[in-house]
Amino acid sequence: MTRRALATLVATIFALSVCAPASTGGGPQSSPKPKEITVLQSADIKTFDPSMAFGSHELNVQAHVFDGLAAIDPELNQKEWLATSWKMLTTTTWEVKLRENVKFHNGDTMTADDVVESFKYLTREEASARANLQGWATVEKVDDKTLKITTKAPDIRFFGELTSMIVMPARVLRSNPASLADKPIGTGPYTLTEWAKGERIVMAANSNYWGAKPKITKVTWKGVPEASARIAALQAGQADLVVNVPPESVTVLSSSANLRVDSVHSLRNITLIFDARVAPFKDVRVRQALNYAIDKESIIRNILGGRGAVQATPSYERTPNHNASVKPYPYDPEKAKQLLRDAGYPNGFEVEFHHPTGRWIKDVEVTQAIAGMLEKVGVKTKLSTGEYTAFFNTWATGAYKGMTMIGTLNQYDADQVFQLFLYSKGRWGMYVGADPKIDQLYEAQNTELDAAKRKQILAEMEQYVSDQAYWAFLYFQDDVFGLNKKLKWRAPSNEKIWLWEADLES
Amino acid sequence: MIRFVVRRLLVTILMLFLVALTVFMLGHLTGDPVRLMVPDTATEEDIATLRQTLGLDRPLPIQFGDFLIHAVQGDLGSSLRYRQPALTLVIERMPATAELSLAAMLIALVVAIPAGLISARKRGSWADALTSVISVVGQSMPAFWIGIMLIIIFAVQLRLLPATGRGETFSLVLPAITLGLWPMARIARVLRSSMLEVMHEDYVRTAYAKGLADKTVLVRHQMRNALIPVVTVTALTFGSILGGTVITESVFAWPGVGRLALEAIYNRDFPLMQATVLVVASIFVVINFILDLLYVWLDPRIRLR
Amino acid sequence: MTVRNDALPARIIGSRRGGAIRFPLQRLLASPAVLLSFGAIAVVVIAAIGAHVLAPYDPLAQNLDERLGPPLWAGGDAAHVLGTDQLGRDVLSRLMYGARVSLVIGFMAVLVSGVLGIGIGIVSGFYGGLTDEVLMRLGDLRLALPFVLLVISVIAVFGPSLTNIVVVLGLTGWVAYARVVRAEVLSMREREFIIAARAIGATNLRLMFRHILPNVVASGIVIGSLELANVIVLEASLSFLGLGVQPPTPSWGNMLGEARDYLISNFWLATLPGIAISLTAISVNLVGDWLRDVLDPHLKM
Repeated sequence: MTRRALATLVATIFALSVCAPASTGGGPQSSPKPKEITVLQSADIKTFDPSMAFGSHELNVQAHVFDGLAAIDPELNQKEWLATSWKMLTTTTWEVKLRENVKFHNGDTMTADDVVESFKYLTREEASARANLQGWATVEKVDDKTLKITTKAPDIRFFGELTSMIVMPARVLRSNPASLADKPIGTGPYTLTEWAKGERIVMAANSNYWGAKPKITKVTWKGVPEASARIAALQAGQADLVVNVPPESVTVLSSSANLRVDSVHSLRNITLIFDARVAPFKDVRVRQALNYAIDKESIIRNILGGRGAVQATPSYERTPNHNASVKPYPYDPEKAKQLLRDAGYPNGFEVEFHHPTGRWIKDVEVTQAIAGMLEKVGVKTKLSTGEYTAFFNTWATGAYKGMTMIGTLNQYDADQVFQLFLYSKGRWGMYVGADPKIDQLYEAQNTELDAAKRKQILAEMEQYVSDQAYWAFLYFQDDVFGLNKKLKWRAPSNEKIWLWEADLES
Repeated sequence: MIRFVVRRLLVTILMLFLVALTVFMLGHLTGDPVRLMVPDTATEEDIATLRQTLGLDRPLPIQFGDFLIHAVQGDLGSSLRYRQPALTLVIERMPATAELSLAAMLIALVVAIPAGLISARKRGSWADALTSVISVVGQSMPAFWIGIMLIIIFAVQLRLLPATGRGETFSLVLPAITLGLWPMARIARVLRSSMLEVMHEDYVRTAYAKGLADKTVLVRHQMRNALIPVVTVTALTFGSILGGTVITESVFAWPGVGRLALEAIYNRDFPLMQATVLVVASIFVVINFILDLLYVWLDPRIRLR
Repeated sequence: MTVRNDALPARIIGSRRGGAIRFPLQRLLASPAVLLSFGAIAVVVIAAIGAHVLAPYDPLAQNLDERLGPPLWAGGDAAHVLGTDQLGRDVLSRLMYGARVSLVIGFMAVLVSGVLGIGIGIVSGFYGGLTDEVLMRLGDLRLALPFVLLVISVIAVFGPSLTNIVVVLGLTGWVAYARVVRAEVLSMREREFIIAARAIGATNLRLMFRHILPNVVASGIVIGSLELANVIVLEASLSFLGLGVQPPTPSWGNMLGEARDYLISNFWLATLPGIAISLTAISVNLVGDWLRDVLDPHLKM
């Protein structure tokens, strides 16, 4: 081959490899006028169907397209949303009034019919969202703007359920509900304009929105599991907001001229839930021993970069009815060994340790650090992991032996976690092995209408659960976000990214 | 010729059948797929009922037959996680993988062919040595490490190229280089070897003796024959590219079929896993068949066998 | 496909114009690349065998307060020459134990596939006919399937364990051996010594074991040495994806996988294991090429 031919060939490759990607679109933004941002979450979403939503990243994206009857904002305030008022008529019936002049993205006006159909859809057999509305028995239309909702029992969780009652258009639900998975039609502040699966989701501001029009006109969402990739994208200007900034990158971002870091105490607490139904965790001394064996301060200081708070009880510091006087277990490996000896395990034991991978900040590292600490007191762990949804669903059936790392998100009230995880008839309460005292306390506070008495019962519950060490209490993590300085947005403590209230400086 | 084609076609169909069988067996070897599909509140009765509804209690050969019938019609089941038809999900991701694979192959050929030719022609020169070094190194270094190094250098340190993902300008460059490096090394090496072999063949020397110009000998005689092993090796490396997409797409978060397969495997999403392996393997088998035909066209000696 | 086996120019690997085989030692000394490769392999083998004695720390010993320490040349202290990882474990020690994993899995997988492949090749070439046809088609099938995808699926189904990895890699790597050995057997079948042995009354089995096998072992070794490099890289890839050796046991692959989170702040964590894998694979490849030249320069691959 002549040298000239060779040169032409070489020139051609470069030309081709440079031109080809340009045709796949998505160049950097050049015009300053439209306010567009790109948000990187740590996982991709699978579906827009609210009945199948799982995981805060998915809920975040869906929340921009769909609305519920009520909402809890990033500062934990309760807000009216598609419902303007709700009134308790009897202990098990409520009257809910709907907002007027709300239009779906397809032009239909929202009425009580849509809510009735949506309720049926959300509570059908295959819906994963079903459990969120399990307290409700029926939803009936009184007139176009009014609903009557009956609950199965006196329901202190009514507000929470209102927020899970996502409203979808009855017309679509009757004809083709499966289309909602990738062609969602809601009442939300944004409409879906493009979804390249695995690549990006693009939304445009909804000019017919019932609330304040969003200032940001276009939002692009991407799921980027690698923290380094998210940081690199932020630094390169390819993203405006990224979640889960690892501690090592905080200084790099804070010192950057056009970027900043916003971190908040999150409601998300990471804990290890013991299988207390069988040995060895059936013995309270063993459970306590593991609580003493884990150096939570070291984990927070070293792995989380100081961004976290040691956990003492199942509820978050700002949750209503939290018991602030319960002290966390100190790090005391000698005491742990002593307790294990007392319980009949002088040489420790081997146990399964289940954990997710990549779901929470440094979850794998924390798991490995804990495994190392437990090894030092003689407890050998066999690690087992899986993708989060499959992992959680299997755990939820009661199948996991040993201990499991779970992150609970406790928003509304201190009893919420008990209802889900500790009450023997609770959704995932099987691991406690039925503690009659917890059950009795829980049922008492569940129907207690006097606020002060209820607070007392809950305080007692929190102290009791801590003493009984049904969990290895670990920490509440901080959520650390990296963002473009021009983006005016505050980090939420409940993992909700609300962009319709955000603004972009020019 | 016809006999050859027909034989290859029959073998190809047999391969496809065996691929389907392998994939089907894989899906049923891990225990109970039913348990994974039910919500966590299901009772044993619910599970038994679902098993019956899905026909998972029938004997395996019947289930396999059913699987085949559906597969041929394009129904490969529904993804457990996405709740959408598995085949649709796979097809949605094909353009991304195709783009990456073709770009990688292009880079590989465009660099390897001149390199192989030059190093054969100028044995012992620095170009030859360089090609050889790249060949050995390119075939030994793990692709995922190369990818990560490229990310560190070009995305993190120099900020010239995007770190991961598809859709930005130049997103394709790093992944394509990563994926194309092994084929590049292999093709250059094979081309060099076959060119050297061909160069010493009698008919080439005869052509020179006849006084034909260097260029003519090269193009008309050497290249045509040297191309045969190149086509063979391209066929073989094409396999490594398809396999390599799994790793490269994982490193670069490229939204293609390879990454989908990996995700399906992590999620224990068996219908999706089956669908991806089935589709990729089938494409592989079919393309091999096409390359076989190409091979025959290039080398008349084969037809006579 | 007949391909001439010069992977490297004559200048590097030593001249090899047909005819008598030069003395291996002389050839070895004439090629610096191969010498260095032997050296590198020796280092890796010593590290692997002697890890429990030579490694400065326990590879599983965590020390959270000292995590992410840089290597010595990047500002780290001499206590950890290659730095520490995200849990404070010494990188050098982990690399040494990782060598153990790579070599053990590599050798065992090559052994399994070698034995299987040579066996199949001998049987196939010796008996010919339908047996040959079926076995070779089996080989075609194996090559017709996207290898990595299959390996990953199988491991995902059966679980990642040392045995499973060795079995899967072993059971899928036999084709290269089988093809070459079969070709050799085909050419050997009609040679005098076989005909003579048959005349004496040797059984097929005896023929295959006593007469044919010794002659094909050399090729098997050469192919094995080249496949070893592939297997080492494959194991690393599997571990990288989380489907190979499971943490906390160190493997070069899973060390790299865990280092992905630190590409920005501590890229050495990703660089060092990668260098280990690459250097080992390159060295094994070069030694394999040298072996091929020594044992059988006209090996048809």
